Amino acid sequence: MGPSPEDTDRGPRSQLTDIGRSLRSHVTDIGRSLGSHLGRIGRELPGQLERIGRGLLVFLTHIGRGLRSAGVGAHRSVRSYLAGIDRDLRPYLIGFALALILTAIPFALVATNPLPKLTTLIIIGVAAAIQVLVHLRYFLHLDLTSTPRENLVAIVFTAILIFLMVGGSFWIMFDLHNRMAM
Amino acid sequence: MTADAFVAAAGGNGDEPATPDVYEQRAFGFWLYLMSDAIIFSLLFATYAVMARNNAGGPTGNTLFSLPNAFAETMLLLFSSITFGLATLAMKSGEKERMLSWLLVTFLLGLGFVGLEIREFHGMVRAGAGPDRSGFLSAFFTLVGTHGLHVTFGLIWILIMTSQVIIKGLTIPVASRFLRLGLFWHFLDIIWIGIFSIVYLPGIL
Amino acid sequence: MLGRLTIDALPLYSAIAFGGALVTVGGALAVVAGITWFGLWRYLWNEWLTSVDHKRIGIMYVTLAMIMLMRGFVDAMMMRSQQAIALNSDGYLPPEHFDQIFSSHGTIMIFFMAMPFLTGLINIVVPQQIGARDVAFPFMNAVSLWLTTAGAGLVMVSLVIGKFSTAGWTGYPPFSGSEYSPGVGVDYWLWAILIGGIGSTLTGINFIVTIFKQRAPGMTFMRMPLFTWTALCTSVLMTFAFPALTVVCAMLVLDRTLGMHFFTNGGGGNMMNYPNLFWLWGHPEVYILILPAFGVYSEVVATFCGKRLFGYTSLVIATASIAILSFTVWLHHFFTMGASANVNAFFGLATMIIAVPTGVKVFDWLLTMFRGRIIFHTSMLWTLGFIVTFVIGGMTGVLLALPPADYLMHNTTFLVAHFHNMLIPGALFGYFAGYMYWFPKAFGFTLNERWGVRAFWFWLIGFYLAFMPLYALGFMGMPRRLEHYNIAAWQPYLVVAALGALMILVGIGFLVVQFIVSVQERQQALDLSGDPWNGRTLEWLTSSPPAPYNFAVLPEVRDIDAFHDMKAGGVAYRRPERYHDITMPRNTSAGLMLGVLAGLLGFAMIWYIWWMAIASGLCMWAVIIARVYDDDAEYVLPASEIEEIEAQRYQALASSARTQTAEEATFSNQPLPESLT
Repeated sequence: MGPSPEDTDRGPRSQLTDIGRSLRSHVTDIGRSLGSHLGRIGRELPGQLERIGRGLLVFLTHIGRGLRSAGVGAHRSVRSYLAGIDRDLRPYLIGFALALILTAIPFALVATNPLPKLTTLIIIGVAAAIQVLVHLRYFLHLDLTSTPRENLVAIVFTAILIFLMVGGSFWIMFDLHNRMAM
Repeated sequence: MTADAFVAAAGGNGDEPATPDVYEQRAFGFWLYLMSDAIIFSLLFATYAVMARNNAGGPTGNTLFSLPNAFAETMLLLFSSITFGLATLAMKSGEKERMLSWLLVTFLLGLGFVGLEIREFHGMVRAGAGPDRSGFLSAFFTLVGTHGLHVTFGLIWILIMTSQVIIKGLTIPVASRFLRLGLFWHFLDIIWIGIFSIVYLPGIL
Repeated sequence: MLGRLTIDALPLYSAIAFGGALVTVGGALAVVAGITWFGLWRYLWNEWLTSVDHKRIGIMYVTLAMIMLMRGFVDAMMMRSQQAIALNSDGYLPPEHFDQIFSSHGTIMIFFMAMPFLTGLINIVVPQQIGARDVAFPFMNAVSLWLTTAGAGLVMVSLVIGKFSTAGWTGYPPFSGSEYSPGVGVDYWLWAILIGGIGSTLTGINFIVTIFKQRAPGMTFMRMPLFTWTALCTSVLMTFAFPALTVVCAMLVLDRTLGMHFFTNGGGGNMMNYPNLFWLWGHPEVYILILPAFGVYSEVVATFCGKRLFGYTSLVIATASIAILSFTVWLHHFFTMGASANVNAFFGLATMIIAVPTGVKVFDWLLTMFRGRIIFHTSMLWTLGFIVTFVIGGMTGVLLALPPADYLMHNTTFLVAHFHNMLIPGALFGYFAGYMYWFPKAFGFTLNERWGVRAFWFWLIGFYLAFMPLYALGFMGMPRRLEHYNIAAWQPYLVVAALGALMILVGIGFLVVQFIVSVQERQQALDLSGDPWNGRTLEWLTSSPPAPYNFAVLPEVRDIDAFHDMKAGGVAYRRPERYHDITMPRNTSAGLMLGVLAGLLGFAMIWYIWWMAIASGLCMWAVIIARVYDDDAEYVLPASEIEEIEAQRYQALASSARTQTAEEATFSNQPLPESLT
């Protein structure tokens, strides 16, 4: 929306006014479209993030379920025993069994030390991570349906922060260590 | 579980007039506190990891840590989580005596844990491997000690809960407090997973 | 019996120190005497000290902040005057004293002036803005207040008994360790901020739950006022950042008190972990300080331009981005500690990125003003002063974000100028704007405009005079925290800076005058309607001051700027058919007791008075446990009493001319709500 042909004869002041006017409307337009774009992103982003997070958790649950059914399938008597137990008690027993296994493996590996050190450390780490999830799911009853949304948001946020804080600290401190042997 | 169903199941007399919202808020607030506590522990872990080799020519984890002791502590805490869960279930079905019994077992298991830990610390200090010996040991004592302190506070809380259940019965506020104690107790077991995985096992390796 | 506390702890070694102690003790005695003389102890106890009302707690926070502003500013005046005269001379302050002064200046201004100020504003305003009757945890709210006060108390006590830290407000080891600072100074610093920090963490938790759970029906997250949004993000930062401070201070306490080796210069200590952990807290902390101020500016701009905020969604996203990004930049406080280029580059980039959302906010505010009908209320003046001045400081921040540039300017007065440029025009002007904006809501009468305007101009011009020279001095190579120097070229700048500080002193004086004059003239400036500025958000729906329960009937929200929406729809002041009983939390002295005991615990730990430490610790436990058993923590306000209170409210409404004084004829106040262009 530049100055029209008739305006070329007008003085600089009115031309400036025109330019100013057109600039103003441009800025307003940009601002408006920016605002609506951002607004749309803001509206869609939580849903998209939620979908990704949900997908991840479903994936993990599938893995967990697969592991569990693999273990339970190998002990059908245990399974039928569980089926007879009070529904509320089941999560605790399942969690207990899983926790025992996930504790026994690292301890046994350290006690007997058959594997290279790095491998053992990785297994310890993975077992710990899984056991934490087991505790959250079976003892704290954290799941996507019954847990209030804000609690889930809080724990995800905390996890992100811990990653940033601890990860960042490691990066910084070990970098300094390498440079200064401190 | 709605407030009414809760009271009916518990057989209590529901004397408190507070609305259900209040308990949801308290649970959420406590959850947030646990998140802030998680940050504290994660930074203690990070510091420990950074200082794990800073033994200043003094004793290392290899010589100090005992695998059987760590395993015993782990089992005590894990079992106490289960017994706490059993106490929770008893409370939900309104069985006061069974709940108190399981709570007592939980307390004893936790007390055993703290006892073992104090014995371990005492032994280390006597062997000249106290927290003032090296950076590694400072980090160790602070991390594991902070966890132990939390467990101790949990034990005191269990005592308070026991007395409240005896005095007031299974009312909604008491139950709500108990559930928060459960969050706390399970949270501490989760931290312990980190401790044996990051401190004891790698230290012994 | 008294640990390491001896008679030597009294400041008899220096006239200046003795003078400071005298003023402190004298001031405290004067306050006690005054309260006794006017027979106000019972009133103070029943209505304020045992209150769990968020509005009263907020006022007490702001009061604490104003008192500590004076104390912190005295420190500033002393530093400026010392530096102005100390060319090739010792000045009047010996180095050790000067070091205590800059340490206490920073500590007080951040922990015991800015934090209480913003917490106070959040306390007074946020529950009203979301249409709630109270915060989620009123008792915990009181505990937070008294813990903060205990921390401030410890710093004040250090003026009289013992000395304060000389290790700066950041307290880096090994200098802050027991080997190089064996006295009580660093311990005073540590316990003051440990105790105050717990208070802030609890406040963070309290307000996250409040904002999540107590919003009025219809108030979705995207209909919340911007001040509430910034309060939410601030609370998140408080909850998640203060644990880092707790950890690092606890570690330093353990080093100093139990001989541990976290940060020692040997024995396996890792000194560099201290700045890492400290600034993990420290950077989110400065965003805690600035976000509520941004929230105030949003409210003030919208109200005094008579327009809805431009780009509400972008403002919300910008605020949330700032909050999250604030956890990714902390290394920029120690670029020069020796990390490799990759590490420095990452954090430098992150630091530059975090400037962007702030820029978005500035544009949003400018675009709100564009085509608005601007009313130059003092709050608006503070806002305009902020926008112009803060942007300068922001740009110097982006400059400092470049690690190579930072290597030259780290710990020079350029840095000092930069962060004061952020904190004073950024945070403090925002708090002042909020103070003047919400004063009538808290007390029922407006502040005197004339003196407010004068205070503003002296603060603004004083700030420029005090800190622009410091930018130049930084480029000229002057380090910070210098007690004396021998480069003559610096002195003119320092003299100008001292003059700037004097102007600010006058500005503070005018704020005091404003308060006194306003109190004297309050009958002419009564806010009878509760809505002196034709506000847009729900806090203006309540009376001024509000009833203890804020809202007799919870408002129903349909849009952003809920109150404006209600006024436009004619439903703002509808009387309900009947009132219901409201359950209110009872006053309790437990919060105050916990604060006092915490202060005693800190004092005992500082002076190694172990029996006192154990006793106060146990007493704190006893108070907490007693509180747990307290079944009588609430009372019911009967509907009849509510009806009486509300009847008075409607009477005042009816008799209020919306234009209160001749000066306010400039406000576009109308007796009836009308839509604004």
